[in-house]
Amino acid sequence: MEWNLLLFCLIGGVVCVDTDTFLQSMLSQPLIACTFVGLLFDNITLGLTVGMLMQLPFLAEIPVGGRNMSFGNLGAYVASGLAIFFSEKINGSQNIILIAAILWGTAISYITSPLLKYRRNFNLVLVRKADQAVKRGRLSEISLYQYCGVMAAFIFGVVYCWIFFEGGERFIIYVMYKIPAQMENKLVLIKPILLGAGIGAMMYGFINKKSFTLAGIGVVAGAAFFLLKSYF
Amino acid sequence: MNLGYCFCLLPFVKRVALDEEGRKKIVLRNMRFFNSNPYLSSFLVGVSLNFEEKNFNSKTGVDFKKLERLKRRLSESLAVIGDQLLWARILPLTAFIGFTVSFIWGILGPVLFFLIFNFVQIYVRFKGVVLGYREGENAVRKLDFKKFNKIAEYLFGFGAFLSGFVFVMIPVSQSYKNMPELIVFALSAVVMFFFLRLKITVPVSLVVLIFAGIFTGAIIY
Repeated sequence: MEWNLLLFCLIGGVVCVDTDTFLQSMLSQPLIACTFVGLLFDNITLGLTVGMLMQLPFLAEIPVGGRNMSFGNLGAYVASGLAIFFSEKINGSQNIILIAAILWGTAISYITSPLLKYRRNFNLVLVRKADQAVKRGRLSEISLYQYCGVMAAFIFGVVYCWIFFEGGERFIIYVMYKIPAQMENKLVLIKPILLGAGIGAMMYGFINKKSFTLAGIGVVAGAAFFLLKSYF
Repeated sequence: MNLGYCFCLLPFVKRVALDEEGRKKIVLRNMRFFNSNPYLSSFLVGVSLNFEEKNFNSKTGVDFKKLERLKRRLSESLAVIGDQLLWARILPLTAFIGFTVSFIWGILGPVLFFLIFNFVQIYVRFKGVVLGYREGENAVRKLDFKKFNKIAEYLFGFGAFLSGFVFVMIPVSQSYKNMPELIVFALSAVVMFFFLRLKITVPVSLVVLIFAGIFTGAIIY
């Protein structure tokens, strides 16, 4: 497990770097990062499920300017790791594990959001240092400070994943201990709720008075498509 | 972003300015405050390269105040357009397409999401640098802001259509045969929509909905 955890945390570092520091190729988006975790730890279905459940709601947060954001990508990534890790260990409590992991991932993404301010302040320090280096005529230091910024984001991601994976383990064990196994069947509404929340987030991003008709056409087209599909 | 901006120019700086003093001047010029969209800022990188190259080749030098004005004016416009187009339209839409495809073909969804988004962002970055570098100060005339707005509008419409389509697709593909599942799905979509309109953050909205789901499930089943 130690090697797996190390690998998981290192990829967490890459997720953090891709989120806002370097490339922004969307490898860090829950749908991709969580599926990758699933692929790595031999449970693609669960990784993909967590990714799908957490992808759409967090799209409502647009990373523009100095806006304060939650660590949605890292939270989803940790949640997928926890869900896969516990589903390997425990059989028959899939819903409880899924809810606990997603709840943990969502909660930490929100609670840790003030840390973003400190990361931005650290980046400002690097910019000032680069500025002074240029004035002193040391151009090579520009690259150095740029790489320092990337490295700092990577280390932040690694440490974040490690701390919250360990914390999440204890949280899920506590939840499993507190919630009776009979509750498993009563938690079937969680997937429809999270999928609904995702669609709600998309509706928030794309539907207004102007586009309401198009959304209606989409509903009719969807209904017609599936009716025809079931008919043939 | 000024550090990143300079970092992009560095390989070029080493090529056009052979002496240390010349390099220092170029870097200092471009180290001033800069904030724009990370994808569309490549356009301004191209314009800067054009100015620096012209300056290197001409005996009288070029007017860098012009570049400074252009950068200040365009960085804001490009930020608005880039955020509107890439962050608010293309990213959610490609993720939404990936999400929808995942329902039918599983792992192909994330792959498709990654490929489509990166095709667009690499194209935008590449095209931006080339256009800015080729046209220099005239590049601004080549930017058709109306066209960008039109594209954003079409994508917005397509997003609305897809929202409606997926709203029907999810219950069907997940085969929600029980009424509670169907009602809870539709209700949580509406509640999330209003939570976001009320500026309640995504994590808080999700936690509230999850707890509501746990209690509803405990009562119904």
